[in-house]
Amino acid sequence: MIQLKDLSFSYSKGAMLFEGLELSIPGGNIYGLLGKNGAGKTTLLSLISGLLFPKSGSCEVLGHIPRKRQPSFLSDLYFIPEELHIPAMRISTFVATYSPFYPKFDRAQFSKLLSEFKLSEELKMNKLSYGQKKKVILSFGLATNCKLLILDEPTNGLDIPSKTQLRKILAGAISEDRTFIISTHQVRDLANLMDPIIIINQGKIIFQESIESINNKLQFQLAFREPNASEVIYSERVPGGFMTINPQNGEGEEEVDLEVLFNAVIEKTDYFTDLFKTDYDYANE
Amino acid sequence: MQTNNLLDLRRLGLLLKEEMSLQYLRYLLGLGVVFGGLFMIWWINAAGIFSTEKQQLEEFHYIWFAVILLCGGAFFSSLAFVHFGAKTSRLFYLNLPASNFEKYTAKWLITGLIYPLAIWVVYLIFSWLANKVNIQYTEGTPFAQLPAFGETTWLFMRIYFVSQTIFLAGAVFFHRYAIFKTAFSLMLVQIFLMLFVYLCARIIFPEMFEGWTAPASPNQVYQITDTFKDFVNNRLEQVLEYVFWLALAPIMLVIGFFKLTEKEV
Repeated sequence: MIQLKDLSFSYSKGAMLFEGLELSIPGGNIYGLLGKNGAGKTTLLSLISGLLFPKSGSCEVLGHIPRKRQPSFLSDLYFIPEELHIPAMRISTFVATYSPFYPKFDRAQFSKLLSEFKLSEELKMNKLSYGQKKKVILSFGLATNCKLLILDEPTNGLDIPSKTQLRKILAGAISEDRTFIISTHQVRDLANLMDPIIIINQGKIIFQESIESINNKLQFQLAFREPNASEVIYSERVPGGFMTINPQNGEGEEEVDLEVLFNAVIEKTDYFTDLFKTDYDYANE
Repeated sequence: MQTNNLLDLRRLGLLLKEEMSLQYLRYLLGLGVVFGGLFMIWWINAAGIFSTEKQQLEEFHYIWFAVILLCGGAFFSSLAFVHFGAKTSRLFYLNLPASNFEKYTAKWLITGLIYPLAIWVVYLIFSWLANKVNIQYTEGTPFAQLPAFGETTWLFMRIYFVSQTIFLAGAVFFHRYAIFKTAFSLMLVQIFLMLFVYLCARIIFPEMFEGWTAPASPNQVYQITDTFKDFVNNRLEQVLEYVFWLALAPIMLVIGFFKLTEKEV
C-alpha cells in the first residue's frame, strides 16, 4: 500500500530531514506513528499525501505517485491534520459541497457518526469548538470510505467520552482494504488500537513491529522497586512503581506499554534493532 | 470505473460550485460595491456631465469601465488562490480530489470569464439606470450608455483576458500580497526585457544606432536611421502586438498551471 524507497527530503536550504528513508506499509491495519517533536512525523505524512515532494528516491502510495495528486489517488485518501481548515458554512452545506468529490462517501454513515458525537448537521462549522470541529472532520473522513485515512494527533482537543467513542469508531471502521495511520503523542489514548507501531527518530524509521511481535519478544512488568539496570532491558518510573521491559520468557502476556516502549526504543535503538532483526534482515546485510 | 485524472467536467462543476458556495457573499458584496461606487462617482460628476457632450460622457464610461474591469480584475485574480495564504487551507485545497488542471481551469473560468462578464452586465445595468435617472430628473438630458458591443468596450475585455492571466499566475506564485508582488515582478520583467531587447538590437543591428551618438555641436540634430525607424515602428511593434495578443495569455496560463502542480504545503 505504501512504499518509500531511498527517500530523501529537506525543507528548502535546511539540513536533510530524511535521507535514504525506507518504509513499507502493507495495509489493512491501524498504524501508530510515534516520534519526538521534530522527528518528521507530519512531514512523513505530508510526503505520503502528496503535500510535500521528496528530493530523491521513490514514494508510492495506493499504486500512485503522490506528488502527481491525481483525483483517483486523492479520492482514496483523507488527511486529517492537527490544525484544521474549517470553512464558514453549516455542516450540512460542507457535506453537500465536498462529499461529491469522494465517490465512496456514505451519507448515512456520516449522519450516524455525527449523531454518535452528539452533533447536529445544522450547526455552523466555524462556531464549533476545536474538539467539535475535529469530530465533524473525523466523521467526514471516515464516511469517505477512503482506502487510506491519515490522522495527525486525532485525540487532541477531544474530551474523555469522545476519545472512547473515537477508539470504538476507528476499531469498527477498519477493514482489510482500509489503512489508518495515526500519528500521536497521546499514545495512551489509542494504545489498544494502534497495531503495528512505527517509531521515527532523527529522520529514520527505527522501529516497525506489530504488537504480536513485540509481545513475542518483550515482556512488560510493573515492579515496585527500582530494578537493577543489568537485569532488565529498560525501566522507567511510572505511577505505582517501575515499568520494566524484559526479554519474553513465556510467563504470560502483559499489555504493551507504548509510552515505555517508545522511550526504550529511543534510548536503546541499536539494541531493539538487533532484537527485532528477522532472518530476512540478516540475509540482506 | 476508470477515473479521468486530467479533466472531468463533473469535478470541474463541483469546484465551481465549491467556489460559489464559499465566496458568493463576497462576490455579491463586491458587485454591490462596484454598483454603488459607480453611482456615487456618477452623482459627483453629474453636474458636469449634464452640460458635456456625448463624446465626454462615453469617455466617462470607458475610463470607469476600464478601471473596474482591469484594476478590479487584477485584484480579483490575485485573490484567486487565497487558500494558499494559510497552511491549513492550503493543505485542504491541495488534497481536494480534483486534478491540478481542473483546479486551475476552475479559477480561470471564475476570474477570466465570469468576472468580466459580471462586470460588463453590472456596468450596462448601471449606465442604463443612470440614463433613466438623468432623463427623469434633468430635463431629458440623456446620460450616454456604455456601448455594450462597442469596439472600445470589447478592446478592454480583450486586454483583460490577456492581462488577467498574469495576475492569476501571480496568485499561484505568491501566497500573500499577490497583487503587489505580481505588479513588482511585472515591472522587473519589463525592465529586463527592455534591456535585453536593447542589447540584442545593439549587437545584431549596430547600424540602427548610428544616429544615436551625441551631436558634436548643438546645431547638429540627432539622426535616427530609417532602418531603425522601420524596425521600431513596424516590425518591433508588430512583434510585441503578436506576443501580447497571441502568446502572453497561453504562456502565463501554462506557467501558472505548472506552478500549481509544484505547489507544496
